[in-house]
Amino acid sequence: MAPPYGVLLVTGGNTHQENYGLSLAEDPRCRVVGVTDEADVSPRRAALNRRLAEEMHVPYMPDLAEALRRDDVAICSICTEHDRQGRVSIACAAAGKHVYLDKPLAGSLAEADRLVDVVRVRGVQSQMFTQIGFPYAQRARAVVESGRLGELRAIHCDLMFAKGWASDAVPRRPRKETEQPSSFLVPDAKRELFNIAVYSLTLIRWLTGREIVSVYATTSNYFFEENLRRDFEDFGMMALTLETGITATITAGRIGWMSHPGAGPNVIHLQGERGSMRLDSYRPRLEIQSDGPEWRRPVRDPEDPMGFWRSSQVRAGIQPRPEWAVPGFLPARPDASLFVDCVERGKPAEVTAFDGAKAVEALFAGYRSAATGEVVRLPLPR
Amino acid sequence: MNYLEDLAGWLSQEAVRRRIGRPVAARASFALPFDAGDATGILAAVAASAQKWFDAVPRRAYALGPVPSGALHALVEFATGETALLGVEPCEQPAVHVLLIGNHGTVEWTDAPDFRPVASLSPGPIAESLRTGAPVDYR
Repeated sequence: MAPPYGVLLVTGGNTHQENYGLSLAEDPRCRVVGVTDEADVSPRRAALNRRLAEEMHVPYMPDLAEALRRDDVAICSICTEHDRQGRVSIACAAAGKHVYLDKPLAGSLAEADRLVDVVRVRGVQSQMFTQIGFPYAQRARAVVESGRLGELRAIHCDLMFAKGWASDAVPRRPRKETEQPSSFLVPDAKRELFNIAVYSLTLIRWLTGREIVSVYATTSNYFFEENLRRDFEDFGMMALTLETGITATITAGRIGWMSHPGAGPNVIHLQGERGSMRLDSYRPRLEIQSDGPEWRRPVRDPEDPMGFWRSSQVRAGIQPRPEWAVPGFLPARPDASLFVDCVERGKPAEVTAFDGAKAVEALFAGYRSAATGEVVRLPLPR
Repeated sequence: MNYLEDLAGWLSQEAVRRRIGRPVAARASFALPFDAGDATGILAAVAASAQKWFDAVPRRAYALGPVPSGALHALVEFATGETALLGVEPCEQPAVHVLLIGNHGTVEWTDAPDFRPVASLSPGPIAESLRTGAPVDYR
């Protein structure tokens, strides 16, 4: 298949489609055909979908099934809420479209498994958005592949997002977790273990080439009244064992606007048989002190109170914090363009639907562990 | 005072608390010169120090390792909900990193101390967790 590739953006405003759609629209090999979604979405969702379509000057196609019948669509970029994402992604792949998937790629293990099957049977390319193309991840890969640490024995990842309005009203007590959560995203809260640990889980599998065999996890409410009200965790920790005895740990969470001079802590600590190395995504960096204007957190946006989405950040005029300047923090090419490479060359992505489904399985093992207080072995029973 | 006691004092001083709010979580890594055989006791000593960072009572520990280098990690949960991922690694070039996360900010401690840690005499739940492969409650 040769470019230009027709791209259908499945689900629009107030999702990461605001980023992915823009990346795909800017890729000269792509032509965005329109924005679409399931025919029975809520009026709010339909309005947000229309808004992105208008901003991108493309039509809104209100019936996904009809849009998928178009033969000028080669790629679907899917950013649907997680409780619908599996079903929608399966429909797109079943229609023979290559699927670019927001993370995590499904809200249930059964749907993740089904998506992997459909992608395989239809022979379409798939990729889940991750941070493996970011310079810090590429540096970690280069260190591991160089062999200078010897065989990798342990890996520890911290990834936290410095966003959201922290509150003192969150009580000081252990969280009671749900064994099988089914809701992950509402306008004012996300389940943050699900939302953020997915990056570290995929990174760990990508760096080690090993499968996760056990998970112990905790989830917590430390920061946000919104998460507490929705019974969504805002923070989590995971302790993993992988094949061949590799161990791994993860911290993941959203920790408040003023908690970090960058976008949030982001560190990988590699331990090999001959040494260890700590890679901080904010190093090297310039540390700047001045009497210039202080950085201020944005005014709370009623449409996006936690500042999840690009559109509200643009509306608020958020600038990068001035204290640190980190050269080469962002990847040279957007993740979505790497997926277009895969479509163009007919080669599998580095993080396919299969890899995304493995991360989903580990996340659900994490929730089961946090609910029961026990170590959970993988694979989970089907 | 030894290094861990000093560190606990620095992290729990009022000036820090005023900035970061209530400490709720921590990630700490201690690469220090010690014999790999002492790793469990050293990690227990770090966990004892972490109690003071939170001013909280530990509830449960789950330990991972040791990897062949002697590195050990533990996820420690506290009775009032705080959590900490703590690691120790025998190393001739010392490096200590602590990220203490409060509900209104974070404080980071980075050091290369001239410090040889002393193993705790009662490694307790961390030793038992390593032995059983399961989380173990503090008694």
